Amino acid sequence: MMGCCFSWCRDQSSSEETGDNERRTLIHPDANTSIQTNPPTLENVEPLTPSQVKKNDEQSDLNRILQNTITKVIDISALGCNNLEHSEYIERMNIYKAKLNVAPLPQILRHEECLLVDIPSPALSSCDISDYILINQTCEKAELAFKNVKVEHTNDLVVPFMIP
Amino acid sequence: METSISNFVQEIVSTNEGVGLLLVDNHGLCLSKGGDVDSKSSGLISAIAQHVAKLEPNLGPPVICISGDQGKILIKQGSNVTTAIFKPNDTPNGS
Repeated sequence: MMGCCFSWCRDQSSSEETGDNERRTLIHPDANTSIQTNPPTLENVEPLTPSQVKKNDEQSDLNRILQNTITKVIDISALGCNNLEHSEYIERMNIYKAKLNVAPLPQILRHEECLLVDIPSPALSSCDISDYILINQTCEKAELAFKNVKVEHTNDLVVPFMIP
Repeated sequence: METSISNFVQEIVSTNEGVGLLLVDNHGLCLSKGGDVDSKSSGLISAIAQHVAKLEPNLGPPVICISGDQGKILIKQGSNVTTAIFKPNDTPNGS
């Protein structure tokens, strides 16, 4: 992008002199005449006529800059949308699954056992309030039970060897 | 020595029919288990709890519910113990 912009800023004679190298203009200026190759300078600005108002001239310059910007910007919003419908999601998932079954993947990538293997589609269920109470109470009791773990002294940790 | 944890696990499993219970320490090692639970899941359970807790670090430890066709897994991380309850779908609710 920077190389492309840099090449637009140079005049045409210097680009022809450099020939084929990495700094060459990617798009030849004659290929698309709608794109203005030279930035507005004092030489290529037309002289003002007495009937023209200075404000209108500034407006035309601004419009020209805006037009140049529009021609150089690539609008990616029209290239595609990432929002998938649920049916399309399922359809794509089935296609990918079919392709994965055919593809000769290594055995390590074919996980037969995983936690979410039994979910055929994106789960939409939520946690019940009874489950919420159950896990909270169990967690509190587990903490209490853990704190009640005590090391019982059965044998001496340091045992004297039979050294004469 | 660890009879308090063993008794607690048996109590929970007997009170809630069909429920599995897994207690994991902060290093992902299994402290105790009861019911139809694989102790090999202890590392995964601990990792899930620690990662999910990072989503909202300013709040308390969240209750994680992993739901599937055959049941759900409830996970909550305590200060010393991470508790995981494996609950089949056809199990009647108990407290």
